[in-house]
Amino acid sequence: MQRRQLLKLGAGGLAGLCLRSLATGIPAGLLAGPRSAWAQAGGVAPQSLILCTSPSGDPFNAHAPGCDVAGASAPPDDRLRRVNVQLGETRVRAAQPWAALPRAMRDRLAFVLHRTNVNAHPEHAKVMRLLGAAKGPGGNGEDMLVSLIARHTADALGTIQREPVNMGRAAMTYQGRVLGRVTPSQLVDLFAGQDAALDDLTTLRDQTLDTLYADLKQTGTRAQRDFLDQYARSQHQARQLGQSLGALLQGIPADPDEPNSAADQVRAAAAMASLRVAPAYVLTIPFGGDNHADPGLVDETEQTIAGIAAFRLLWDELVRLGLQDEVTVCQWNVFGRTFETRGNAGRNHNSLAHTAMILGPRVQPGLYGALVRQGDDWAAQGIDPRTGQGVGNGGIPPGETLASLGKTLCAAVGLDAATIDADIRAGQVIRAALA
Amino acid sequence: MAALLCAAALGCADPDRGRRSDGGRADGAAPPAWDGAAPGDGGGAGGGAGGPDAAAPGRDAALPQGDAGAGVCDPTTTLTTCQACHGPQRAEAGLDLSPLGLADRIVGVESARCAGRLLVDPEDPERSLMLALVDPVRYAAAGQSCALGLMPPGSAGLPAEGIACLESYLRDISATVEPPPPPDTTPLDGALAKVKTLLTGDAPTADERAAVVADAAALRPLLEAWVETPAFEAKLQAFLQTALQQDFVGALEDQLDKPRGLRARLRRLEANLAESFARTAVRVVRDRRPFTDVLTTRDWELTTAAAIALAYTDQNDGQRSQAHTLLRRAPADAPRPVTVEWMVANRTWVEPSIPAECDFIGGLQADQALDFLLGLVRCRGNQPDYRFENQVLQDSDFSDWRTVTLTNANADNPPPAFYDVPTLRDATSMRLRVRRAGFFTTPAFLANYPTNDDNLFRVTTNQALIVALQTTFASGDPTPPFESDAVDERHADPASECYGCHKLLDPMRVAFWDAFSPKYQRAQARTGLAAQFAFQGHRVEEPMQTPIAFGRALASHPRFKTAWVQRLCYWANSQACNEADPAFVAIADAFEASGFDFKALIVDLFASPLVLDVPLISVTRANHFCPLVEARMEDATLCDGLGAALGLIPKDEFSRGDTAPALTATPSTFGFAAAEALCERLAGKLVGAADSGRALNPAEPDAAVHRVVEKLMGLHVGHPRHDAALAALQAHYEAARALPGASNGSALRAVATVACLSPDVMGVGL
Repeated sequence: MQRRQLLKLGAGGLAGLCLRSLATGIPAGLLAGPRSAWAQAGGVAPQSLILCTSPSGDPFNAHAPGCDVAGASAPPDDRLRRVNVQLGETRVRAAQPWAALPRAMRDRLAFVLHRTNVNAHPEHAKVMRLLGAAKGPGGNGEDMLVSLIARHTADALGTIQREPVNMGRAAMTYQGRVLGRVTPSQLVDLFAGQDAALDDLTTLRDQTLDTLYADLKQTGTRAQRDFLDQYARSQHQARQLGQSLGALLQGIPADPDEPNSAADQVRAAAAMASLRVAPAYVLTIPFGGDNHADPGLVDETEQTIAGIAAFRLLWDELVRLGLQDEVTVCQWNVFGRTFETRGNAGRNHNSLAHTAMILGPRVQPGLYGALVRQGDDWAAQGIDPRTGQGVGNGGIPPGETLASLGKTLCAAVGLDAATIDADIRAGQVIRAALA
Repeated sequence: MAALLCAAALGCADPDRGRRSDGGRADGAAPPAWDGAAPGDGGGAGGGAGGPDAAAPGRDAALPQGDAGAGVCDPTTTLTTCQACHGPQRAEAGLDLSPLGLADRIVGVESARCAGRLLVDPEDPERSLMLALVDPVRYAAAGQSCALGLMPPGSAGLPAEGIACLESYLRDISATVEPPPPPDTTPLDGALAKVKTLLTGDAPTADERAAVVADAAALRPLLEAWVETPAFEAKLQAFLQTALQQDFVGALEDQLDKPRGLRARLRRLEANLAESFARTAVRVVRDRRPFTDVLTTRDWELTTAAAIALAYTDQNDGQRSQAHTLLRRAPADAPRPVTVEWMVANRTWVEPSIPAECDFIGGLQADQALDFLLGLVRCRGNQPDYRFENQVLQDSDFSDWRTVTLTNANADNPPPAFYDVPTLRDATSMRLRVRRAGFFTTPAFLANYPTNDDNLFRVTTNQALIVALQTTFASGDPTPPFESDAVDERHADPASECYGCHKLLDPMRVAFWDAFSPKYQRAQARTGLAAQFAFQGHRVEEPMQTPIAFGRALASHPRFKTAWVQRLCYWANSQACNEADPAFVAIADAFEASGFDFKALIVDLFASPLVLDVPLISVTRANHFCPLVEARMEDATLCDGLGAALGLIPKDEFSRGDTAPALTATPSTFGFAAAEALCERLAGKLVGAADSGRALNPAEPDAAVHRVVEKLMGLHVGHPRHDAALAALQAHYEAARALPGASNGSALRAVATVACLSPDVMGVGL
């Protein structure tokens, strides 16, 4: 049986592990080992993270659970009518497409109303660093949350590379270093056409590259040695991916006229997660973009429907690959948008109300936090971490709800409390949001 | 919460920074203790000078109850003031001034926004950014200031005794730092290869190496020669296209009203618009004009197609609604054959090739006339649009580069019609209503930063500042604003933290607002608001209602010289230089003294330790790859047709709001896979028979392998690694030749691939 055929069969549980091992060439023990070790050490099985984020500040909050507040503007399109949506045992109001998601998916779906405290697009990186509360290695400096999580989960997951894969539109960093962007179509170009007949040549190539720099690796400066080591490591990692990823990427692009669409990103992320390429993957799923000027909220309507469909596709892919218990998904932007539109024009930035979504096996489904009228629009309240309810006083203050979201996501992917508190210097885990 | 959102730019920590393991002073005395020790801190509680038992080792080195001259001072009082914004829960600008492990977070740690500045400089504490922030009068001169605002913002500053106490404390903790390990000596070959590759793509020759080995001063004349080569101009153009943010990452949808046409023509139009100002800037450099011209020049390099785009956006509403007529056959009163001049004069377009099944729309608006020029006719019903090679606008109109002087149009001297192709084709000057000047008014730059009715050119203004001065607005900026009715108080309440930035930004943006509509077409009316420039200590008294006046204000800003040295540092090193380094300051000053001669700046910088002694080795990004292989293999067409593969490797990028470019420097899994794919395709273009004109002839494999080592890898005969590399590649050739089904050609391709993939090609500075 060819590797490619094996991969087509999908992978789930132990059988999936074996299949993935056969398909990738990575020993099953290695695939299972690190995760098991983490669990045996008293921790919780670490999760791969798929983070969907956009510096555009899409109006995700305008149709997600929690959106049905007084005076909120909704598009005239009936497809986004407000309905009851069951999230586990909790019933909330949201746009109809959320209600149409499979029950099993909604049973792991949480929404957190919070504040990002910024209202300018360039502050996206700052939000990703939890306004400075997310710390770098050793508690020093600051780090993006996705980098912080990757730093802690990569070894436990046994991923091929330690840094996240960025397929989205946002500039992301790993321990301060810019992550190059990789589009799904580029992945297809790189891996889908690989020919097993070239294996001999590849082996030969690797040997020659080793020979060429053998002396310099011994006698070079520290910078030379570091670079050569990193280069050799990336070479080794690329070989590990080999043809396996190419086979999983079949079907990309879904639409040749729209390469690197949300659907393509979702498929590519799930494919890479199944091979444990990286501890985290960053995507951008549009939900209306920077829609100050969107007469009739037409773009918002179409993209919201397509965006929720992309999440549905992601869920289907995770289930198909047997990954639904191994991956946590988060949707989190630079800021929210006003619930009220300016006439027929569109929505403004809202630093005080943003909705994040977390989907994962360790998530207690529901809606956490609450909105309160403030000025011309709505703002997120503080949160009681024990109940998850919005509170005017006590609990997590509104200004720390962003850091609390970050801590909660860390807990959802399996980081322990001590690590979370050491690396995020504000907020609290919203315990109610965890299963 | 204190109003410090845009506050001082203080940056991220370097966890590898060496610390004395005993946390002690250089003289062996233990550092004093911090009386506010946090849980887990080994330090003792309580105040007073700490003894050895109270000293927290290593990264928990503690704050002193230090000595500031005659009196005893308590830095905790001073720093507590700062912790409302710079504490563990709200580390504005990434700075946490809480006591636990404070020294590790500030000593020798570089500020993120004030590139290259150290928060506390252990070698010379008086150059510390933290001191410049609390006493800019006394300390800003110690290094090129980022013109950050006085801390704490909105205050009159710290009292003198507080500053003295902070000084004392910073000196004390600086003394606790272990001297950094001696820096790697950058090997001569690495440094020489780095600078020549960056400037020309080519590798140093044996003679060049010998000259520099004999006398290091020989490098400077080499640099001066390299910056006069055509290869350098090509590299410079690519650099400036990115540095001036002309790379097309946006869309022309607004400016050209959703243009449609033959896809290849649309792509060429975008490429023309992206290249236009980069070519302009190269001319400025080549002619040794002051580099500040990039902020003000109205002499632009244009093609006819680019001129059409400028003319299109310059229309008023009346011109935009003018009717055009499209016909399949010429009318009876038209000359035979029908001429372009007649079609232009009558706004009647004749296109016989439109197929009969296309029920086209005969009455065109301006945007449809533009589509027609670009090769598209809209057909009614379900018929697909008709795309064709329109001969009114020819292929040569996308490559006829020349300098065009932009002048002011008025009622008596109106701008040319965008569809008057013959006039635009011959133009060396062009009247426009929009007074475009400088890089920030080009269609490419504006396309990258769409604005809207709320934003109203704030993004445009901020981005122009970022490019010109490599800095952005800070709410703590102490520069007194002008009294202005342009500040949008509905959007930025004077009581809000937003106001700190808006009071300076809003009056500045009027320079754009008076010129452009939010679609970046011609403004239909002026705002009547006063446009004025006040930014980071620099105020321009004269109103600046036009983009050119904005450009002049930027050109007069003291940070301009610093910004462009720093941009070149990023280009050369993939990281920032220390702006407080005396060598950096000297180079920036020399740049100004030279009348902003950019070539002289490049020579100065590339001959300096700021470039030669930087140990970081970067991957070769796309911007450097093609010039490298084309220069070394002497074939300017090597990268033609590699487009898709080339797009797989990282390139130099910029992103909205970031003052630093996004430069991928470290190898990665996908980067390696991309390089491999690219190299395989490139190898296919290198190998061919002698009469094919290709560089590597399979009939002469030995010579070809030599050429790969000495040219492509740049390891000339006599280079310390030449012989070993040659032996390795000869062995590779033999092994590849022995594979089943192999030929000389396939084996040579294998050799070229591995050489291309080697860190000598895929790394800069090895």
